[in-house]
Amino acid sequence: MRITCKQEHLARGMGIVGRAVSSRSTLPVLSNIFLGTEEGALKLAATNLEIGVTAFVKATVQEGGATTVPAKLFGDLVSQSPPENIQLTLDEQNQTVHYRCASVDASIKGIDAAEFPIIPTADEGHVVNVPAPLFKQMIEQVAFAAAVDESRPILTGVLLKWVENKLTLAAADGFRLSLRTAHLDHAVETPIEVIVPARALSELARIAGDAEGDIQLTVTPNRNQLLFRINTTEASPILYVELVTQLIEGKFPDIQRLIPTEYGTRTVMDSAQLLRAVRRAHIFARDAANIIRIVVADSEPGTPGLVTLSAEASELGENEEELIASVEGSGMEVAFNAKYLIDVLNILSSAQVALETTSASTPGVVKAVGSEGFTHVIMPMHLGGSR
Amino acid sequence: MPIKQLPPDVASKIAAGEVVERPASVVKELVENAIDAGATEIRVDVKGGGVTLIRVSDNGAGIPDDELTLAFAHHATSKLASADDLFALHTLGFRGEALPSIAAVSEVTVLSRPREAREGTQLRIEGGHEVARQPRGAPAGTIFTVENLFFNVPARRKFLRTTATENSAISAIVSTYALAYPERRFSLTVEQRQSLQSPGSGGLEDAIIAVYGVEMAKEMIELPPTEDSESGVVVDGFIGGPALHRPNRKYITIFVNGRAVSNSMVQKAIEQAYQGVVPTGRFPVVVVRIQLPPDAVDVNVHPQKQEVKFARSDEVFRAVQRAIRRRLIEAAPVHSYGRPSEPIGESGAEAAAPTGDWRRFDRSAYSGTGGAGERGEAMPPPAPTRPPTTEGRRDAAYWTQQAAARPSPPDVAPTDEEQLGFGDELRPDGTGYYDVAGSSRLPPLRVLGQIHKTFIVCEGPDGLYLVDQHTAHERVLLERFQTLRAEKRVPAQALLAPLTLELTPHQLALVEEQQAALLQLGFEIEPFGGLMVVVRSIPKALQQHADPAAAIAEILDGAIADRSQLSWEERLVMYAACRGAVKAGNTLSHDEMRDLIRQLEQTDLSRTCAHGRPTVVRLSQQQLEKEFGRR
Repeated sequence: MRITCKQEHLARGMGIVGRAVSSRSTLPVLSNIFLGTEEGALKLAATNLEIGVTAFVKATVQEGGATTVPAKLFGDLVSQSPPENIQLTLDEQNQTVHYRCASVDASIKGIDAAEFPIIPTADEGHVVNVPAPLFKQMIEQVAFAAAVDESRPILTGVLLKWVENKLTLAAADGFRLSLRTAHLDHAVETPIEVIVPARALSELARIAGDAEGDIQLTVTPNRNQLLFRINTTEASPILYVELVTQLIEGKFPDIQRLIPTEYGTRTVMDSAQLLRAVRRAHIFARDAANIIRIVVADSEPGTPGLVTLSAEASELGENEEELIASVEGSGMEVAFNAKYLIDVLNILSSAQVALETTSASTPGVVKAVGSEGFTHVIMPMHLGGSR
Repeated sequence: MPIKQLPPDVASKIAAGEVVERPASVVKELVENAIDAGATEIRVDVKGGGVTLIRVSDNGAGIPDDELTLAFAHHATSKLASADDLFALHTLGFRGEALPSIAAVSEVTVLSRPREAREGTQLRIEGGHEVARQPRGAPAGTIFTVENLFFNVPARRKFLRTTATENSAISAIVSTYALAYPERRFSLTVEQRQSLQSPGSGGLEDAIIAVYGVEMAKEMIELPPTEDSESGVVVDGFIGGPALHRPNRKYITIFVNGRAVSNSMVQKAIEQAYQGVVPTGRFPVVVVRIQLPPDAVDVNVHPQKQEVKFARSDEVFRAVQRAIRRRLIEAAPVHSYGRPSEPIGESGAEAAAPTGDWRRFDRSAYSGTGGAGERGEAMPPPAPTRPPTTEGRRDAAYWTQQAAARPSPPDVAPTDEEQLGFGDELRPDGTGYYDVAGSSRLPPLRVLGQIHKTFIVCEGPDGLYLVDQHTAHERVLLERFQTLRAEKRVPAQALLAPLTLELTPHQLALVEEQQAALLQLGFEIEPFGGLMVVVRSIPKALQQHADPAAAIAEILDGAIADRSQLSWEERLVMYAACRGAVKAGNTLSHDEMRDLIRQLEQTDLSRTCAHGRPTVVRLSQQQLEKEFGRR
């Protein structure tokens, strides 16, 4: 193998695949990056066996071939090399890559590419397209609500459901639930319903960056893997990126059953204002189990309503803040984990947010005013037996 | 057999049997007499387990020649004049039975001279009969010699245990009195070897050193006189720190109005105070003195006066339990001696009046330790409890700064540098000691890392601290649950989808009975028919738990299997803390560790977990320097 490519291009490619490198693996080859030639480009690939990322970087291929090199060492070397052409030459005999960039002359010992796991590509299976910006936003609005703890694997995943032209993403960690639906221009022929690890989707959203094209989804024929292909523009030094992920097997909880269908009080507030107020309350709440108390005052129809946010840390002090709101329904009081509120307000795209509540012990529903399709459910907190 | 009056010598032997059960009871009676006679020096010699010889010499009032014979008559005493006096007793003896009882079953020689008398009298009684009496020169006081104990009661003699056992019983008796009367000098010689010598300095700590040795004494904490505001019961003494525990209750010594007693209620109060401080199934080392008005206690319930009855036992229980618990919380790990402590409790001011036995100190000069916030205005400005979070080496200047920020120490120098324990820190310049804010609390620690996914390694002002992440977190959660539960403020998180669980009949019964207590803990659990229950919320502390269903079952099982004397509520709290705590084997981030250490620093009993297992082990700077040959 002998190829030449620009330092910036290679660095960009390493930035894309680098995160998929296994940090702690008993298999040495998994902490390596795959380097190979394909379709006249440099193919970079990394996998931790849960997800695999492949990026095709524009390059001049003088001679084909493939190997793997230690990811950290190679990545650091590339990123610290001058912005010149990099020439990579593989000595197949002893699996050593000679690296040349301007005055830099290095050799890197690698591991035979044959030992690297085969990462499936999008050659076969059921293919659908979704606009990258929309899909990225959907992921950002949902994936954070998935559980981090591995004890219930299903909850670490995001439900991806596509029936006709309606795409649904949903995640829940046992205490909150995030749901986003979108109607697309085209319908799928056969419905898709899979559980994708939230980590894989978050990584996809990161890689997609500001890509404007479509993301192509391919469900592999045996339905245990999902493949995403991010197409880039002509100008990009990266031809395209593929991310493949294992799917989580099992049955996702029935979401519709968990979302309240009615409410007693609907409070509409300014999203940014509310977020700032919650953040301030959190300064106190974080030393008191993150509890922030929301009191919606009774208000006459037609007059501005009042919402009071408060938090107290018994040994540190307390904080109270009032917000003007438009209140529909009767006054009420409820307590939530400040972190959950911050999480959802952070990803809200609308200027106004609606909080739908009924009682101190029933779920609170957060919705984006003016944009359909987003529903977030937060379970309230209470103080042992105090209500 | 016809009924007939027993001959006097038989009757007196029977009566003697009640008082004189074994040699140790003779020692007890004679020592008590010496004390009641105002002796300041009491010497006990025994041979042959007390059977061959018991000699108690004192420098007390002595018995005048003309009263000597009477002293051996039944119900003859100088300590009581009428039945009413029984309820206002200030002396140890009063029944007037001891001397005749002893005399009835042994060969007794008494040599006594009242201080004002020119010469003493020696009287010899064998089996209750006076055999010799003569004037003799003698030091002021009384020398009471008992030989051939039980020579005329072979049955009793047969039941005596080995010499060693009897000796140890005698030793226990003398030790107890040495502790009870630190202002008197006690010495005990067993088989011609001195086994105990108390200095009679008036300081209980000196008596404790004499009885238990320096090593053990180092581990004990002074309990300053604490008056219970409601009952007027005053409690003081010395209490063992968390590291000091024994497999039985022999090291719990209780004095009521100066009298050594065994009282299961007080015993229980002490054990309860130590709940979670010493490991389950182990017992603390405690010397506790309870003072209450003589009319509030009845000592005349047992011939040997070992049992007492309290008019208001609940008040005594509360006073003892509270005083010890508070002191443990306040000062648990303080090992150093000679450090005056401020009396605690609502009535601190009255209790502060130093009693004769207690070292005087100027309260205003003392601005030391404290259960933060409990004392209102008397509190010194809060000392920093957290090290700066910046990384890097701590040099001497850092710790000096830390020291400077602390309240100045009382002007008392500990006797021995080696006595350093938790909470006492040698100043970097080695000139003295300063207090850690809330002396039982941990000093500020800097987290260095985690080993074996189980222990957190920290640097402290004096040495290396190893923290068990599970027991430490358990302690943090336990105290949080305890404070918040009472106020109904335990944070609970509702579940998105209620959890249905199938319980065992045992578990279900507990859930049904303790539903309210569980709710206070944050568990909203309702029976759901059959053995099923539905869980709607869980404590926030358990929110990150891998498997809430398993955690609930474990908490219920733990409470069911627990053999402690705790109430169901307390057991549930204890096991919830245990289940909620991070397990050994979990990798913690640096921030998580720092957070945990900071929370542990703020707990009251930071050194042990709910089950009494240690949370922190310290390797002192001195030890390290010693190991590396720097000293």
